[in-house]
Amino acid sequence: MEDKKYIEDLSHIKEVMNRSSRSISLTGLSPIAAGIIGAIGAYLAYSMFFRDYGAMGYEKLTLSAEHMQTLNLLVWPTLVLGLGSGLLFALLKIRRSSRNISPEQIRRMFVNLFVPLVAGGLACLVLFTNGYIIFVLGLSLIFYGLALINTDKYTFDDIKTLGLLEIILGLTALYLPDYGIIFWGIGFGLLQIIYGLIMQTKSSS
Amino acid sequence: MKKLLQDLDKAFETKVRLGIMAALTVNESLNFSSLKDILEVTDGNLATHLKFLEKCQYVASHKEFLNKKPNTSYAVTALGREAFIKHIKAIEQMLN
Repeated sequence: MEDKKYIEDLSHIKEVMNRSSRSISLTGLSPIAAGIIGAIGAYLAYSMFFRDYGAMGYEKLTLSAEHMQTLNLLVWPTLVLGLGSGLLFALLKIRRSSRNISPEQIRRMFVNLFVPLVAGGLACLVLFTNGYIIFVLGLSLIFYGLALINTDKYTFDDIKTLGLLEIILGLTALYLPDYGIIFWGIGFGLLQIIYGLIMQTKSSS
Repeated sequence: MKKLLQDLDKAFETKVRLGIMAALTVNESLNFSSLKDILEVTDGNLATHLKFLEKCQYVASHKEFLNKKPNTSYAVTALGREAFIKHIKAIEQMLN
């Protein structure tokens, strides 16, 4: 008799802990949209620069002003569209299901997401403007993965796995810089699309 | 057995108080209305239990004004966290 009450107590505690922290459910559309844009960006970058240059080694890659301009035209739309579409779908989903979510929790989740993302983004920007493009590919994957892991506490979805895989790909991209753009394409493109599709099938079943 | 029963905290006998402690342990702080939404209890009920936990010094409240409206947020104290963990451990051992 006594036991039953305490078992109930424990499951109540666990239930409240989950409900009160992991209350935000994201949508698979976010990573799918970001993934498609990331994949297109990676493919364009590959066909425009990396294929012709071949192996670039660890040396600082010096691009002509003209090349830099084209790369700028490619990088910024990819970044803005990818990040923007991902956020848009996430916010739409949160608004639709915001019954039990306090704005404070949404705020905390986004702070947790954006602190590593902005710090990493600025670091990458500095490297990028100085021409260290090879490092940007790996580091952007690593910081993105860290940002995802940082938000795991607030959502139902197992975002930690995606974060870990992004970090592994980022480290591999740093280790094998010649194939950096390929790992970048896998990480921001393929992996996100697969993750999004898994999320979608899970939530609809 | 006697020792275990001692560890069970009388303050956590009710479900609402357990719920308050659980929610506050995994969140830095929560205001009154978020707690109410999470635990799905009435204002009066929640206020009574919060007051009790405050008296035990397991929970601390912080009053401030947000957009000119009073907003009270609650957080678990170090003492409260310790007592809560002890309570859960005692339950777990008893069930083993």
